[in-house]
Amino acid sequence: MVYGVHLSVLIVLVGALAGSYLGFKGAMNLTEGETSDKVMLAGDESVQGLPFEVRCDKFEVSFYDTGAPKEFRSDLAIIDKGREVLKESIVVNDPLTYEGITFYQASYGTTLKEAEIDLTDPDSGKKIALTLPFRQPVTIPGTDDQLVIADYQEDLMRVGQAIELVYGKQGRQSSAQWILIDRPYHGNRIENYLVRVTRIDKARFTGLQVKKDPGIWLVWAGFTLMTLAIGLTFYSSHRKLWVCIEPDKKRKKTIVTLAGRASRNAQAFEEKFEALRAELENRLKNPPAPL
Amino acid sequence: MTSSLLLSLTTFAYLLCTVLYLAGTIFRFKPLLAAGTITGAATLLMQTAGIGLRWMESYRMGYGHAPLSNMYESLVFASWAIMIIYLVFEWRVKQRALGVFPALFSFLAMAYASFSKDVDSKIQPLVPALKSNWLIAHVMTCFLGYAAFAVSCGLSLLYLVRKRFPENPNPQGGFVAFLPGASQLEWFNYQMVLFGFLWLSVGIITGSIWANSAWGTYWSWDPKETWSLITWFIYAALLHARNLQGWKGERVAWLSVIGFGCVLFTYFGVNFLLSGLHSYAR
Repeated sequence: MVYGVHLSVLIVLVGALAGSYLGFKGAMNLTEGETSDKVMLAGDESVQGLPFEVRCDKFEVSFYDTGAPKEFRSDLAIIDKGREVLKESIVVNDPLTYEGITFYQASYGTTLKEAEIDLTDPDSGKKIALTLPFRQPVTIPGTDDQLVIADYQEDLMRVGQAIELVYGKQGRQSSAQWILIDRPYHGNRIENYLVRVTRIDKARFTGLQVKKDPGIWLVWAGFTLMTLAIGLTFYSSHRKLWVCIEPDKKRKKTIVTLAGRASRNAQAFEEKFEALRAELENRLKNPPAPL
Repeated sequence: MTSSLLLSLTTFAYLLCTVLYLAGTIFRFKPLLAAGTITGAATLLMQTAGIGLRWMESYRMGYGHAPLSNMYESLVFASWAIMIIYLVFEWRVKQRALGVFPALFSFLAMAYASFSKDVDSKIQPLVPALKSNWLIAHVMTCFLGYAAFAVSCGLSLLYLVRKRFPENPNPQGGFVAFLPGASQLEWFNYQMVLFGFLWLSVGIITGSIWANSAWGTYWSWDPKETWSLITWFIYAALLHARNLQGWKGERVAWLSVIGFGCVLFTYFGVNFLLSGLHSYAR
């Protein structure tokens, strides 16, 4: 019983080590429609490639009328060697496992796909309209300069949606500026141009936790053993017997004292003890013949 | 008839129960102790009905779930668990004078749940993370463990009182007259700790299994996980010290009290003072 409990602890630890060294844990963000086989590992931020691809067909988030989140659901598809082999929806508490790798619904967010902006030169009044795909530099027509959306935030410091524009001029330090999308803002300018965002195209992404854990079955085995072992202690009894042999000089005899204790089920132990005492008395009174 | 009404009555009924047990012990009047047991049992039944009704009310509201999902519901369950564990124990050992602390703890849990501004008693729908059958298993086993440790804390406190006032030859006896002997109390404490240890172990294990299917990790050193593990170690230390080192009664009793302090921190301290996956109080 006791050995079982301690062994179970060791099994769990071995299982945990096996999972750490032989498996991996990371995150994968997929926008709706996106396919990927790369997992961003926790800790060292390295990338783990998967032997198959995952595609997010749809992501849905619903809310209760109290405003609390009701469900996060991702419709995923697994593509192995170019063929779609599995299609399954996942929600929190109901992950998808394929070839020993499990995908958990962890979080979600919104990301920018592209934005249309108007650049106005305040001196000449000239207006340039540009379409900027997220994080792809675009050359400003008529110049050698480049503009790129480096970052997007749904809520920049509680003032709303914003994009970070970076202006790159040949041979000079590039400048960066956060542009507020929904509000008029005197800071909505870059390199002498006034900036106005006329259209944005967003996509929702689902945040998945990805895990491979070969040690997990050892951990479950350890847990099961621990539960059984602790439970069984309630049904096992520890019994202790003492025998004390001392001389009685006065009466030239030997006194044999038998004592016993049980941690459980005293009744049964008392009977066994009585039987043992009677047997001992019998043996002492009628010693077996010497060989 | 609402769960709200039944549970409010439960709070005051547990107070009455505490007073009856206490009066019976102080005034050495056995009928008062018997009244304590009867009040406790009746209140437990009323509380069970209240919990059941709340469960049904949640379904009527359209987002039905077992009443184990927030601070209020867990406090009510903790109070229920303390009382049922104690009453079964009392029935087995026939020692009514031990009821003071369990009844007091049950009352305090209900009172805090009902009157604290930090605890919201409204029935709320389950957020995605809580939508799992593991909710019932994990919360119930953890709180059965906590409840057993609460009872064992009470037994330890009575043991320490008993040690201060050893067997009095005077038949009238001091106010400890109705308490069982020190070695008996020590044995009861040990049994109760072992019982609680089983439930806490299963509680931590079910939490682990649940976390793995929800977030892909069975242990993340979240404050609640860490503190429940610390509690587990303290009681494991108690069991080891008693059986291997032959620790005497008083040390074990104090360890039992410290362990319960750890339980309280794991339950309240983590929710209110630390943040993490388990901060359901906010």
